[in-house]
Amino acid sequence: MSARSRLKRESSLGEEVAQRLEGSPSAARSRLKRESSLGEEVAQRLEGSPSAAPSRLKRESSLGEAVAWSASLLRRIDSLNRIIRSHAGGLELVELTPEGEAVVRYTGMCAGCDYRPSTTAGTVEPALLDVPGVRRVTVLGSRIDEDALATLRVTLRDAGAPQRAVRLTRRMEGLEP
Amino acid sequence: MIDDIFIFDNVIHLSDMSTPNLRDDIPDAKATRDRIVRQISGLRWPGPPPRPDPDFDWTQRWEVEDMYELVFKGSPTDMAMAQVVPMFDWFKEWESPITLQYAMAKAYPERVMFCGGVDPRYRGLDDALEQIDYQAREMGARSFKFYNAHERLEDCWRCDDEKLAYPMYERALAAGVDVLQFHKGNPWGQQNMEKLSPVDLQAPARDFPQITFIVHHLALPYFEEMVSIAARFPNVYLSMAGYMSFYRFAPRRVQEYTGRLLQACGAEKLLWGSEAALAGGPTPSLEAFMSLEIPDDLRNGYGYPQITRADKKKILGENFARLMHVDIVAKQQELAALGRESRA
Repeated sequence: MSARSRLKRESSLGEEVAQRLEGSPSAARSRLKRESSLGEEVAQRLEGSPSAAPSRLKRESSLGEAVAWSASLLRRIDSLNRIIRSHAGGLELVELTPEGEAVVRYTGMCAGCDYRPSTTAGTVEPALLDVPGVRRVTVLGSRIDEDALATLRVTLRDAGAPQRAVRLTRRMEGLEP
Repeated sequence: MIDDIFIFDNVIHLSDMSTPNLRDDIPDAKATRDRIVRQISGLRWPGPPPRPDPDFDWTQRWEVEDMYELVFKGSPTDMAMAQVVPMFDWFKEWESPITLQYAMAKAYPERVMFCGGVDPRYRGLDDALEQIDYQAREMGARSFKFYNAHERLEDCWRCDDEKLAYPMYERALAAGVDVLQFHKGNPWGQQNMEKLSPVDLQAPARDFPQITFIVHHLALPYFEEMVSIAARFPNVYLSMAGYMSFYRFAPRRVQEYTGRLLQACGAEKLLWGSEAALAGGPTPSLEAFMSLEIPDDLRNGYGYPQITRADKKKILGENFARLMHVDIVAKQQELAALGRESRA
């Protein structure tokens, strides 16, 4: 039971994301609906829920962008997972707010790791902020002092880490040669 | 509410440490009870209100109305969970009896949830399983509390025992209860410490991902083990369960531990717990928590984040409300309507 449960809980992100991106439209819709507030809105739009009608009318023009944004974010998380897998860990999207805050959490060996702030500042945060529409990144269960974070960001920037994370993930997605 | 923040107290106990409840067949029951009471009295904020009398007998059998006055009239607490303490080592009807916790929830269902309790070493596993069924299905238990360490070594059990512990978790799930709670750390009397280490919760947390495991008292002195477990397992939460009481005489320690918890586990994993009645009325602890800040030297030296109002909101009520499926806005409206009715 334990192995099965574990697999179910941690459910390799890559697999989930791949399903979201490549799987059946209905599976993609239900996942989007479940996992993100924006996804919920998008799913309602796709399903034509009558209760969503007023909001749909108001936001008609931005919905296409929202769908693209959501897909780009999931693709970026998939790319980050390919990098983070070298740590035997993973990353999953918890929530995507209409304000552009991507809430994520680490899984596997990265969950509970004391180096999470470094991976966040050097790899995860810059790569996610590179996705159009993402304005803020929050990692559940891991937070350090603002000054300490600023220092860490400078150190990592000087070492080229954020630039490398953005370059690598873009290449994985075919956005850069 | 305090400063417009909804308070859902994870743990109050209607305890009965009175002399009539002491076991006659245990020679050191009274001495142990007295030692425990002395230890806990150090945590209680002195003086007024609601119990200004220095001779007040805290070992009394706490009845429903006394508890209501202490927690709901004497403090800004909105909701609470009354938890059984299945400590049979020295007490006939256990330290915090099932009947009292149930009576509290029944008398004030809009504010109080009943957390049952069983122990497989009390009358055997079969009895514990029957009790789980009964307490969940007939008494409305929304959670169960476990104490796996006892004074006699042969009474101790491990939380990862697949033959003894797992059947209880499975039975609770089958009865619709998916939040289980464990006393860890903080030994009573001269129990062996290692039985109170939280490490035996890792396997259950892995094997039962559908269960939320709440660990009490930050498992002190196994603090770093507890931090690691809560950080790594998404279904492990920590109840601060009386921990703010230390702020009265060891504020630095509270700042340090809170900073570490926010840094490694996140405010999302922490639950407010007053431990009333024995820890006293919740007001002084609540006020201390609202004033709590992580000082600059800890932030500079360890990178601990500052505690924010959003963190406090999560810890004081939002997290436990989410786990117990309480809609805070609807509950506030319900309680406000009840207040208006009672005034009319």
